[in-house]
Amino acid sequence: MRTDIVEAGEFPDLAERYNVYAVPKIVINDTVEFVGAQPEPHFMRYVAQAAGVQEAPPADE
Amino acid sequence: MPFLQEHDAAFVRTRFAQELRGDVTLEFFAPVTGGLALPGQDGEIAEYVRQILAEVAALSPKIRLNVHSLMADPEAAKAFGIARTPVTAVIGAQDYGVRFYGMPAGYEFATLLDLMIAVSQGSTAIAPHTREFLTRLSQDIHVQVFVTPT
Repeated sequence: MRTDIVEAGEFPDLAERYNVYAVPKIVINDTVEFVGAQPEPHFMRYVAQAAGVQEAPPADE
Repeated sequence: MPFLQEHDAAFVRTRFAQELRGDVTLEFFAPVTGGLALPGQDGEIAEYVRQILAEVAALSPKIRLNVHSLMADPEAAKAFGIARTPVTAVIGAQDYGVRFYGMPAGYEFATLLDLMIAVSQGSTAIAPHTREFLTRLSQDIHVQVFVTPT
């Protein structure tokens, strides 16, 4: 797992490529994206979606 | 003029003393060569980032700052998977794959501190079943988080 934190104003080419109009914007594997802080189980559902797997941790916490 | 006011530096120094466990290495890559900043805004931002990191590194004996030039040190850039600058790889007992592209100022300064403490402790506050889920994933996951300083 790799994590890049990108200051959008300093990398306008990336901000444009990923259509960053609001922050924080999260892009996973170039395919799945969302804006704003999300509860951990929601974040993991996006990760599962990007990884192409069905299961994700339960959202009961 | 320093980035950190004295009372901010004192606060960070205390936090590091209380929360850092293992050593932290900041591997900073700048678009410079031979100690000369390239003209233009990019070189100025990179130099400012280097100053911020140097001030932070001075606040704990557990922090080391290595400054690289992308052009002069292509081997290190390859080892850390660096293609753009300025960037800081935040490394603990191992490389957890975290890179900070650009200037860690404003709210993002707190992000840098949290990152350093997390890699130093080698753990985070994520839930056990989240950790288990991520451990089981065989796919490569690349998360990009776009931020602004304010």
